[in-house]
Amino acid sequence: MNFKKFFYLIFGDNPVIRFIDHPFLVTIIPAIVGLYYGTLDIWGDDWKWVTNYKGIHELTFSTLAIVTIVTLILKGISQSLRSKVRARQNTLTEALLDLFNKLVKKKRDRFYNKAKHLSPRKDVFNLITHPDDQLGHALDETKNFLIEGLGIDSKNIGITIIQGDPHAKTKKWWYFKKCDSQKQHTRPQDLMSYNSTASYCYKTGDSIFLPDIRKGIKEGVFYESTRSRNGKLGSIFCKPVRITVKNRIYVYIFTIAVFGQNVCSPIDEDDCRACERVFDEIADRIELELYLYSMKQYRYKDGTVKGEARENAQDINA
Amino acid sequence: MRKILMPEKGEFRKQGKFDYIRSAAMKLLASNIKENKGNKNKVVVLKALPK
Repeated sequence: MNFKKFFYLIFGDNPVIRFIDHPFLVTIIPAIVGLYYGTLDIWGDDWKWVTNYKGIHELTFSTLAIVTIVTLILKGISQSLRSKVRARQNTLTEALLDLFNKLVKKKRDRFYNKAKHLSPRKDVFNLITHPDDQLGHALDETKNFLIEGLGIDSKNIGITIIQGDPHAKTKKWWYFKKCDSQKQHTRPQDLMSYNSTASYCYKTGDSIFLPDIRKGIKEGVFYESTRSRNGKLGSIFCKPVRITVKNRIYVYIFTIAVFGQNVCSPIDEDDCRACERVFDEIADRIELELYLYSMKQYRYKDGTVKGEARENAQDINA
Repeated sequence: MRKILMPEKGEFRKQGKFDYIRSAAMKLLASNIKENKGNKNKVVVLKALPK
């Protein structure tokens, strides 16, 4: 066990510290010690129950004094640790709020600009909804949250949305969105063909969070790429999004991957749950935009007479 | 369903560096997020996947 972990276990949030920090004890112990000391000092020579049992009182007072000193030291250290946690919590909250606020702001600015020049005959849905832009922005802001809030090294982050075409005769998968387009990612076709986290999500329809990718490799739900093999450590969160617009299905897999370091302590269940909850909140925002994107795709591309004709032609040719 | 696949304690020898302050802060942040997703989206913590 390293020193930091030991230090945190002793002075961090544990039952002893919580007991010491209880408002009742904080008020009552110093008062009792003060009162007891005053009694011994002022009436020590006059009162028989003090003079006759001097040994007991010496022991009692020494014990109370030691307990008070130890308690104060523990309390002082735990308070300083707690203030550090509070400061970090503020940073995290600010980073998460910043992510959500920027998404809202971008939309609000667009609505504001479009509303000024809106004419009654214009297609408002097409005019104000730009999920493609919004998704790109959401991925960038998620990366910022990981850097600013969680302290993840930017070069270790990979955030993607894989899209699939379940209507095609041979299943096709491609990267719909990549946070860093310059970065080399594993081919989506490979990811979806082998035992990967994305293919597991697609098959089960459940989201999954692997705080330690080694566990995923062991259980056959992580596809080892050169990048993850070199980094060894890492975490991954995957969420499948399946959207049905009338008779057409749109499939996406949203992934947050970190290689070379873990996003949380993989053996701390509470930490894993906390990380998963935050990632799931982010994924909900992504899902919302994917709904809009799919509806827009259907409305202006796949659902049009031209789109349906193309579909039919594909079926006949196949 | 939302799944978390965690390793057992001691399953892997090499562990990454962990920031315990960040971990405590993250737990506090997550505890403030209210979830109203019902049973359909309940979180399941697994130590191994069912074969």
